[in-house]
Amino acid sequence: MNIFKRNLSVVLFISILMLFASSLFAQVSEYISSVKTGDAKDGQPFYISVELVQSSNIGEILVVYRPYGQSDFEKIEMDLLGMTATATIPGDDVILPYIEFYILIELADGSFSTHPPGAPDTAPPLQANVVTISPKDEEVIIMSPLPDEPVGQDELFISLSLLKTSDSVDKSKTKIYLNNIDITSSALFADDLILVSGENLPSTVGLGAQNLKIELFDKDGNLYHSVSKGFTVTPGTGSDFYAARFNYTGSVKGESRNERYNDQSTWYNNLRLNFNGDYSDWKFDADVYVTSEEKVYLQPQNRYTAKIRSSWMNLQIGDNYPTFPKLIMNGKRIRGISGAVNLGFFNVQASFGQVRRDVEGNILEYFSRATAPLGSNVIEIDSAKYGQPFARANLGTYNRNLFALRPSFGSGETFQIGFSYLHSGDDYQSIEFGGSPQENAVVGTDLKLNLDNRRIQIRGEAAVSIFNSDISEGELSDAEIDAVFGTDGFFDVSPDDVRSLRDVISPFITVNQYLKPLNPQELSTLASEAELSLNYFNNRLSAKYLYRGNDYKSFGQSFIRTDVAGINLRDRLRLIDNQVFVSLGFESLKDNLQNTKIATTTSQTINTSVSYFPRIDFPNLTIGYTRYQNDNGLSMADTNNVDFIVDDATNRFLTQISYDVMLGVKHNTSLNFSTSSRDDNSINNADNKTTSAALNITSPWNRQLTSYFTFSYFSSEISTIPYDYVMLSLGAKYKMLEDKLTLTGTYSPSFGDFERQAIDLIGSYDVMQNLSLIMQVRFYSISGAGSNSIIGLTTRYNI
Amino acid sequence: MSSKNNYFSLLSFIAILLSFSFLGLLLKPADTPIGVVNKVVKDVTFKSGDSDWVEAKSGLTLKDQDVIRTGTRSLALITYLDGSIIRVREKSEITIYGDKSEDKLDKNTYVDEGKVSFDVKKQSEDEEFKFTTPTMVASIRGTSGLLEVMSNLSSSLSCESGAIEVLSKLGTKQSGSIGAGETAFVDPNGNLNITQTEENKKKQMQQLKNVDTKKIRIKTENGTIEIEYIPEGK
Repeated sequence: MNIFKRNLSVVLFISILMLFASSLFAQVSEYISSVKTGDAKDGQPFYISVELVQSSNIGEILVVYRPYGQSDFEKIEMDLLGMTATATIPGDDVILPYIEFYILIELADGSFSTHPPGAPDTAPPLQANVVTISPKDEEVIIMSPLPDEPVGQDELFISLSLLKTSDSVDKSKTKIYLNNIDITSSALFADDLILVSGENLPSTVGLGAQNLKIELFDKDGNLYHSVSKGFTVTPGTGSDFYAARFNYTGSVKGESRNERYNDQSTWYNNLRLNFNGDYSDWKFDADVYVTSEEKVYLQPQNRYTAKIRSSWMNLQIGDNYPTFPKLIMNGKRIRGISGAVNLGFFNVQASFGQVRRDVEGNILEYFSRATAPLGSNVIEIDSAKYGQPFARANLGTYNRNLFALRPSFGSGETFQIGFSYLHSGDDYQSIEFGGSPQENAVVGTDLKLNLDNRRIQIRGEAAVSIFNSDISEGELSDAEIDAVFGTDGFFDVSPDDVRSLRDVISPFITVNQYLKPLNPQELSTLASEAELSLNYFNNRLSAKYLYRGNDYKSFGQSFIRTDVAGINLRDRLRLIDNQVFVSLGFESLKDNLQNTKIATTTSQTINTSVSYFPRIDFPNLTIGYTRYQNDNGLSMADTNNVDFIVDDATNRFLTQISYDVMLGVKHNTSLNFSTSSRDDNSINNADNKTTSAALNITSPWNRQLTSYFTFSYFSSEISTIPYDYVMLSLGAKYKMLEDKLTLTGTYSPSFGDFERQAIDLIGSYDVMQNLSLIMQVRFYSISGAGSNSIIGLTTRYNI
Repeated sequence: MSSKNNYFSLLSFIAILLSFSFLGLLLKPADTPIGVVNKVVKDVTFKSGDSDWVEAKSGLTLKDQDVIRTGTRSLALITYLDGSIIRVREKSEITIYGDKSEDKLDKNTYVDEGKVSFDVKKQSEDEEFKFTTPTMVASIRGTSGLLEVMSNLSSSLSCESGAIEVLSKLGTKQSGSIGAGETAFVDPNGNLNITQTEENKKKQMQQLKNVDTKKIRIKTENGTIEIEYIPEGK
C-alpha cells in the first residue's frame, strides 16, 4: 500500500509538473518537437534524431551541417519513419570543438521550413559540442564481457583492468555499478585486476541489455572519471549463443496515432517488422516498414530492406543507402540492389535501383497554341486526346533508375585506388504530365594512401559528369548534325567530328543539344578534392584543396555545392597530455569558376578555439571565435550592379562549459553561450545580431527517477527588428512497478516574442518480458498559429 | 678514523641500496595477475609453477610463467591487462610471461605448438608485446593476425593489420618486418621467408576470430551433461 501511495505520489508529481525535457535542442518550430543527438565525439559518426510535431505536410527532411573550420554546409537526407527522422553525420566531419547543423524540411507544396526557424541566415544553427574521446576512457580496460559478445545469464563474469589508470587514482576506491546498482562489494580486487563473478552478485541479472559503469576516484575521494559499457545477457549459458548456430532476434512494432492540427484530424497507422540473424561469419537483417502514409502520389514512404553480409561481401536488397566516394554518391536512397565483394587486393561495389518513382502529374488548365503562355509548368500534351496542344499542369516525377559501379584495388589499410562509374536517367515514358526528363553520367577516381602507421594520410578524388537536361527528343540524328554543323551551318565544326563524338558518348548518355558540358575545356563539370593530413608531435595538420565546377552534377549526390574552389587548412594541437586542444582553421573559397556571374565572391573563414578537458575535478571548457567574410569586390559606386554586391562579415564568439556537479547526486550540467554580429554592406543591409544561451541539467536522482531541466534564451535583431524569447523545459523520467512501467513527461513553455506551450507525456509498460505498450500524448499550442495534439499507441513485441 | 667512517658510510649505503634492490625483487609479486581466461571450451588445462595440471575455467587469473594447454577441438580465450586478446586454438600450448612495472606491462607469449590468433592493443613506446616460438620472435606494436607453430617447429605468422617485426632464432638469425596481408614463415633451420598471405589463410584468420562452438546436452539419471565443442574445420 505504501509502495502504491509512493508511486501514486510520484505519478502525481510528474503529472503536475509534466516533466521530462527530452529536447536536447529546445527551440521553437512548427514542425519539430525535439532534436535528439548521440554523443558528438571527435572522428566518430554523429547520430541525429528528429521528433516531428506533424508529418502530414512533410515531403523530405534533410540535415544540413557544417563541420568545424568549414564555411560550406553539407546536406544529408534523413530517413523518415512515422514521426521520427534520423540521420548520421559521417565521422570524418565530426571535428572538435563543435559541429553546427539545422534541419531543412521540404513541405509537400514545395516550400521549405527550417529548424531553428530562419537558420542559417537569420538564426544560428544548432550546435553540438564535440568532445574528444577522453584519454581517461582508456584508463579503464573492460576485459570482459568482450565487445559484441552476448553473455549467458549463468556465466556472467566481469573483469576490469586498471593497469593504465593515472597515478592520481586511488584504485581501491573504484566503484562498479551494474544497471546503476552498486556491485563493488561483490568484486575481488587483485592488484590492477578487478573481478566480479555473476555468482557473487546479490540478485540474478535479467536478460537483455545491461549497463556496466565504473567510477574512478582520486586520492582525495573526488570522482575522477566514469566509464560505461553496454552488453547483452542471453538466456542460459553464453555458449548457447554460439551453439544455436543460427541465432536471431526480431521485433514487431505497430503504431496507431491521431494527429489533430487545429480542426483537421488525421489517423496514421504503421507497422514495422525487424529481423536480425547470424550464422557463423554471416549476418542477416531484414526490415519492413509499412505505413498508411504511403500514397501513390508521393515518393515511397514504406521501406523494405534485406541485408546479408560477411567479412568479405555484403548484399542489400530493397531500400538501401549505398556509400560511394563523396562526389559520386553518398546517402541517397535506392530501391533495388547494392552489394560489394571485398577481397583486399581487389574489391568491387555496385548499386542498381530506383532513386525516384514515377508519380503522375495532373492538368490544371488547357491552352491553344496561340494562347499558351511561357512557364516551366506549361507543357505540350496530346491534342488528339485532350483537345488542346498545351496545358498548365502540376508536374509529376519520372521514374528514375541509377546504376553505380566501383572497382577498387587495395584493402585501404595502406593503399586503395578506386574507379567509379554512375549512370542515372528518367524514364520519360513512365508518366504523361512531367517536366523535362533528364539523364546523368559520372566517372571518377579516388585514392587513399596511409603512410608511417597512418600518420601521413593522403586522400583524393576526382569526377567528371555529363548531364542532359532534356532527353525527351532523343539523340541527335545525322541529318540534324548536318543541318547545324559544318561550314554552312550554325557552328563551323566538321559534322563528321560531331558524329564521331556522338557515337563515342551515346552509349553512356543521350547526345543532343541539351547536353552539358558545352565546352569541356572549361572544366565546368569537373569536381575534385585532395587532402593531406599529417599527425606528428601531438599536432594534426590537414590541408585540402577542392574544385567543383559550375555544372558538375551527380544524381547520386543531390546536395553537393558547385561553383566553388579553394583551400581549407586545419590544425589541431594537443597539449598537456591531451587535456588542452587548440584548433586553428582557415578557409578561402571562390566561386564564378566559369565566369557565369557578374563578379567573383571570395569567402574566407577563420576559426580559432581552445578546449580544456581536465583530469581534475574542474569543468570542461571551450571558447571559440569564428569570422566569416564574403566579398565580391563590387561597390555602391558601380550603380549598374548594386543589386549584386556581396560584402558582409560575421563575427561569432562562443563559450561552452560542462561539469558534473556533486550535490547529493551527480548533476550533469552544461552551459552554452554564443553571440554573433553580422555587418552587411550590401544594398540589403541585412545586419543582424544574435545572442543565445542554454543551460541543461540532467540529474539521475536514483535508479528510478531522472530529471531534466533546460533554460534557453534567444535574442536577435535583424535589420533593426528585435525578436527575443525564453524557453524553459522541465521534465522527468520515472520507472516503477519493478521497472515495468516508465513514465516520462515534459512541459516546455516559451515566453516573449514567441509564445508556445508544449506538453509531452509518454507511458511505457512491459506487459510481458517481450511485449510492451507505449502510450504517447503530445499537445502544442502556438500563439496566433493554432494548436496541435497527437495521441498514439505503440505495441512492440520482441522475438 | 675519518676515512674509515667514510668507507663504512659508503659500504652501508651500498648495502642498503642492494638490500632494497633485493627486497624489491623479493617483494615483486610473482602472483601479480597479468591476464584473465575469459572463455574456455572443452578441454583446457592450466599449470602454475610446479603445481600439477588442473582444469582451467572462465575467470581464471593468469600470472607470470603460467601455462595453458588446449585439447582437441578446444579453445581458451585470454585477455591481458592491457586489453590485448589471444585465442588459443585446439592442440596448443602456450606460456604467459609478463613483467609489470607501474602502468607498463611487457608481455611475451611463448607458443610451443599450435595455433593462436591475436588482437594486440596498441603498445606504448616503452611497452612490448612479443610472441616467441621455438624458431621465431615476433615483436608487435598493435595489430591482429595469426601465429601457427607446426609439429616440425617451423613457425608461420600472418599479419592482418598493422606491422610486425620478425626475427629468426636459428641459423643466420634473419630478421624482417611484415605488414597487413603478409606472412612470415621460419623453417626449422631458421630460414625466414616473407610472402603474401594466401586467401585461404585470410579466411582462416576471420574464422578463427569467431569463438564459434557447438554444444550438446545429454540427459542422464544424474542430471544433464553439457558438452561444448568446436565443430570440425573451425
